[in-house]
Amino acid sequence: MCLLNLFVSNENAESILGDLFEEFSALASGAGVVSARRWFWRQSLRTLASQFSVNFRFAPASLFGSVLAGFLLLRFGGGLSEKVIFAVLHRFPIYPNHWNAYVFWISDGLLIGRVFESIFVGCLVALVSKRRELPATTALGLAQFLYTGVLYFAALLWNGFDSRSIFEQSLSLLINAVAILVGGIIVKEIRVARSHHSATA
Amino acid sequence: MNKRDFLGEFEHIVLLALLRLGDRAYGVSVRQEIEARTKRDVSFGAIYATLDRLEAKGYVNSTLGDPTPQRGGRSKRFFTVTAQGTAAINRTHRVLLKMTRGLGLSRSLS
Repeated sequence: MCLLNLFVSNENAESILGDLFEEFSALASGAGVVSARRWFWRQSLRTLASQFSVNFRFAPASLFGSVLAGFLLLRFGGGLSEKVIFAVLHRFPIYPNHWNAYVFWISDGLLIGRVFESIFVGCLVALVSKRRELPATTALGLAQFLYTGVLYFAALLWNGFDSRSIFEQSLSLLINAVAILVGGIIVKEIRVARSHHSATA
Repeated sequence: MNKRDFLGEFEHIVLLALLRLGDRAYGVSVRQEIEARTKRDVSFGAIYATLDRLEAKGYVNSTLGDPTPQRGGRSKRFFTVTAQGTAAINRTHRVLLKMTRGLGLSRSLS
């Protein structure tokens, strides 16, 4: 239900969820709850898939444009948080008196910075995509994950495998992809809240 | 004539389902009507995506009904075919008749 609420357009969300609920209830009382649950999951996944794909079929140019712009922003504008962190560390040298804080900022701090960059780019792409926030940010997250993953694993093949490094990098790639999606969810929720507020005002 | 004036296959089926259902046409009834007549299992996502397109073209109007407990307190969205929609169905149907005339196509569902 949560996924449907996120990916289905605002105008249809209530109707589609209501329809699913109505048919599920009718099936549960007729064919049993197990059968009704199976039907519900199948219908929900198919509904998600068709709602997702319809955005690319009927507004491909604008959607691909926003995804490409987000991808290029991450490629060429990414790393800004890293520059800021190093600039601050250079301006306010905490090494060697605060060794732990220094290590935190040059390891976890950089990762946190990249996550915030991904959320920010996700918000920008969602703003530009208007009513297609989730399809656009999902596509961007997936593209970023695959692109960075391929580059990383190509480097591993060249330099040799390290299982701990693979796990950490894969987790980092996944977290950044999810962060882009989070940016889309934030913008969508703000838009929905604003439209409810103006409808009741 | 603009290519938008002719209906796609699924658009055609959905509009015909709306005509059959009259003022009872909403997501569940449309899905069940299509499934019963075409033996085709369609998703709500596909139906609503098509109805949105048809509404954007002016072929369909929608109104929100009252929320009901059977739907978890959610409203139904009822759909009706407009005069433009009826004209589009007739136009597409005439074209199909012209294209199939003399071909001796079977009337069975197989």
